[in-house]
Amino acid sequence: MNSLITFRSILHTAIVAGVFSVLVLILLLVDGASRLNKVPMEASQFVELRKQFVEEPNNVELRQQIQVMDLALRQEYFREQHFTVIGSYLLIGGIVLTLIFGKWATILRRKLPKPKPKLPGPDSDELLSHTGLRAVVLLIVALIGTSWAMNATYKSSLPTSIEELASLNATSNQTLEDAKIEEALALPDLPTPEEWQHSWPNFRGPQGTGISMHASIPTTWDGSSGDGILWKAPVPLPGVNSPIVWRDHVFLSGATDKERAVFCFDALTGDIQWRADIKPDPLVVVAEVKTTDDTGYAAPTMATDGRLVFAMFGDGLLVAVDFQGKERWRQSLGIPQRNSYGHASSLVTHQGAVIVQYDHGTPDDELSKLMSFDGATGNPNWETVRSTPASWSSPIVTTSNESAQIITCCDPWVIAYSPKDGKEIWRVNCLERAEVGPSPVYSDDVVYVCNDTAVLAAIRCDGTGDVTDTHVVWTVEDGLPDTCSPLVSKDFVMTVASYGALFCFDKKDGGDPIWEEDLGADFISSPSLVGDHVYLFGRDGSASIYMPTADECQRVGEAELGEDCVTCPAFQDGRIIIRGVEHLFCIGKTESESS
Amino acid sequence: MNNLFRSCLALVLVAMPIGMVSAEGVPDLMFPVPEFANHPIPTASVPHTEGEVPAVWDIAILLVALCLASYFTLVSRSRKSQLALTIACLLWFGFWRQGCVCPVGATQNVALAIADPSYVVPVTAVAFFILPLIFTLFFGRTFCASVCPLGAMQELIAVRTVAVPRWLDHSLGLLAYVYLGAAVIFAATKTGFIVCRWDPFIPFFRLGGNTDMLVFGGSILAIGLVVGRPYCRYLCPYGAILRLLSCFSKWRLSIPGDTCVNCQLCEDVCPYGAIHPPTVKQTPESRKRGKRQFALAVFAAPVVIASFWWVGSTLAVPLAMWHPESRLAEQVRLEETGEATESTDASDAFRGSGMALEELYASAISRRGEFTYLGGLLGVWIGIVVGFKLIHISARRQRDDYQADRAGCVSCGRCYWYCPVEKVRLGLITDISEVLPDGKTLVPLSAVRKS
Repeated sequence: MNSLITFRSILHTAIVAGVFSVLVLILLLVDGASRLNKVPMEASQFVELRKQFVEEPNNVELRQQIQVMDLALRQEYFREQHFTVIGSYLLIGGIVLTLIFGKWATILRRKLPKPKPKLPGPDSDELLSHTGLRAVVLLIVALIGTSWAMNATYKSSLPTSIEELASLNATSNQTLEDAKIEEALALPDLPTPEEWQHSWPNFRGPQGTGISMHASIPTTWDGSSGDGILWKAPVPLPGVNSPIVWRDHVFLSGATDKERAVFCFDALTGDIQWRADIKPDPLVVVAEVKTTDDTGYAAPTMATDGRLVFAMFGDGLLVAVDFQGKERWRQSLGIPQRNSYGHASSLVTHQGAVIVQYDHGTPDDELSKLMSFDGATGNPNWETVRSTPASWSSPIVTTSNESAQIITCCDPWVIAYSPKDGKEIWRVNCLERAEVGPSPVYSDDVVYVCNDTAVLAAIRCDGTGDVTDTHVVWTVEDGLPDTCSPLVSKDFVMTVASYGALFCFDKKDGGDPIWEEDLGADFISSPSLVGDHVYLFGRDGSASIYMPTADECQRVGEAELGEDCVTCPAFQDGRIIIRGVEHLFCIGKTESESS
Repeated sequence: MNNLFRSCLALVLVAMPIGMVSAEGVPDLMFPVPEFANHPIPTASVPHTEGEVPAVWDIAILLVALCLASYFTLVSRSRKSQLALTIACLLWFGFWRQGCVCPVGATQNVALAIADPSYVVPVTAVAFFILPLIFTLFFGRTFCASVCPLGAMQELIAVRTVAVPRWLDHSLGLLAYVYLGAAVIFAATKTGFIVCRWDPFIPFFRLGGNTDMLVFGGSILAIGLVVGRPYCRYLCPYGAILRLLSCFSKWRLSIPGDTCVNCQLCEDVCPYGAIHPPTVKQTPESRKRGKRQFALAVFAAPVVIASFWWVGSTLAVPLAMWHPESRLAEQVRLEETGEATESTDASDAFRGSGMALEELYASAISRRGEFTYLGGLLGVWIGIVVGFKLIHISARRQRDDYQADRAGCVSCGRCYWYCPVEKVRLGLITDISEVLPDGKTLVPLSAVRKS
């Protein structure tokens, strides 16, 4: 055996191991180069399938196809990783063997060095002192050259000093401020009260009551067949906010986790007049917005002051867009914290100010705020910190005893604020232990609030301070909704209970329900009143029209939207504009049908 | 037929260990999470760190290794023992402890601790920085010889080295001091630990790393096959410190002049060019020219220092750009002014942090001001080193016998391996002529001196 382990066999082993190492190295390099910019989950076919799935979320076959491809892509990725790991070990093994056997071979044939005889002449120190000097000088030149190259390569875009930075900031801020003021001055005057009343400028109409001033509203339609539908337009981005209407414009917003936009539809034709893509706030772009599928990223209903439209998104971004689709200003209020469903409170305007109820967090962390912004410029008017937890109810602005009040609902308070300075006027404790969703409704100096697990309460609005013991006119515990806001007519207060029943109470006394009607459907959309007809849109798109009386509830019409619906309708003269999950519908009769 | 058999044997020898590696296989791959699956979210946990040992063990092992290295170098003068210790230290400090902590990197910890008193420097880092310095002051560069895992790696792969000309060796050696200065400044300003970031051997110790690190490490190793310890000689910042201290070491590896037979073997086999032969007597012209050059170097040194100070002062922007926050400020500024159309992960993360732009800019501008001063200091340091080198190589030193270079000798012990006097001392041979190359005759050094 010893005779076999000769110099040549060891040398051959070293050569074979060396060649083997080189081959493995080449394979690894080729494999690595081919995978350099490869991201498994970005395979074109996979991306296409996922895009398709967004459009067809109920396509089970497609879903399975994506699952299979997802698995295959990941397996392929890890197989490649496995290949690299094994290859690396083989390479290391090969190199180590090459070195060991190479060294072994060298040792077997080790020869003593043969120093060359010293020649007469200058010694190495002498040579060093001459040549070394030149080499060091060359190094100095190289170092200076490197410094010059570094200076030439790296240029700073920052100001040269902090003073210059401060000066630039001051100039920039002044310019922005001037531009804002100039734009604000160019805005038209606020609309007249008449125009306001005949529009649908915010959630549930001009007063947030869900009551339309218009008449001649249809009671039958079929969204699938198109009967009674004036137009039907697809909504490009999802959102559970309701449409608002100003003159011939219908506004709504939509958003996903990646994009958000405000849309303006032509109220007469349904054509999209413009789409304003809203860039996410760079300050929160990387933070995760927590929301649920039911709430999404664009739950708050927009509002308009007749000059600009205002939209808010799930990441706390408030934007103002003019009627031509140009973004005029924005305020980032920060991502809502500890808000289990995502932000949903709608916007409301009052005399050119935008009111935002931004409830999130817990009562102790004081994250919740009620804020007012100048609608023209976006400058904050005031903000009031609220020691309340997250809520999903929308504020209303109303007048009581000639003075305006902002009325808000949260757990456990109903609180009224002054729109002038945000100071609290009164509060009532009646919504304890509730995840507050329904919005308050004001009628005849009384505000009606309700929530599942709490009560339906009628509260007089002329108090100050904590008026829990003095200003609650009545409370009832039947027919409590978890999402739908109440509807208050001339004589009745109606609620849609969370289990799908319409309850009717006496407006003055509350008491036991006058009647209740099993609706047989699930409801998110709040009821609306047109004339003496109550319009109800079920989650499945079914619509019921009732006429409430002191004795009974008469069903006067039924209709189908043809797709799910979780939003509230907006009303125009003779028309209903309602947002389904996929389309925006305009329900009404053509001029020929009307005549 | 015999050749064929040998080739087959060679293949078997290669295939056996490789097959063993392959047969072991790898653990089951992580099962991928398919889309839409209701998979449980894994609970966050702290992974077990392989090779984690109490700090005191690291220090104790280092101390023992330094003692052994010094003993093998100066007392037993055993290259074999040194090699064994080298391999052991490479396995422990390199592959098992994955190259951290090491004195080379610890230099930065110490620099940061000096600049920022609030920084709590780990005791291991201090010990790793101090102990080799102390041993070098007493015993020469025994740490480099057998304990440093970076040096060990290069020592073992130095298969067939060529001699680097002394002029090149001396000038390239200055780069280590430049690197040291930059490393200290960057560490002290919390710009980064560039020595660790660019440690060429970490990817090998940890069996993985960035492409740039792998390429750099691979290049150093490839050069190391033919140039002895390229990293230690031309880049290692800690080696630069040890080189200085080694000049003042009390004891160190030396060639005993009284027994040297002037065989030149040690000079010839030293891969680091660290053994210098006796000097010859200068001619009067040479002496005159040498004096003139020396005077010129002495006068040039202050000019060099001042020049480098000025050059360093102008490097505030590029030096500050090494700091991640300054780079971020520049990027954000470019995005704000519209010069950069796309944001980066860092700028997105900054905007997500809620920090004010003005704060970022002000911090970057303030840092740039600091780097104007620090760049000047770095320039002064480089100027001093270069100026001293000019004087050093212009100064004429007289040597009557073979001498190991105080700074350049890494105490590797290769010279012992070949030295015939050592072999006689160890009893391996009885007569010196047995190991002399053919045709070489013994010329006692005492005779050379007399002549």
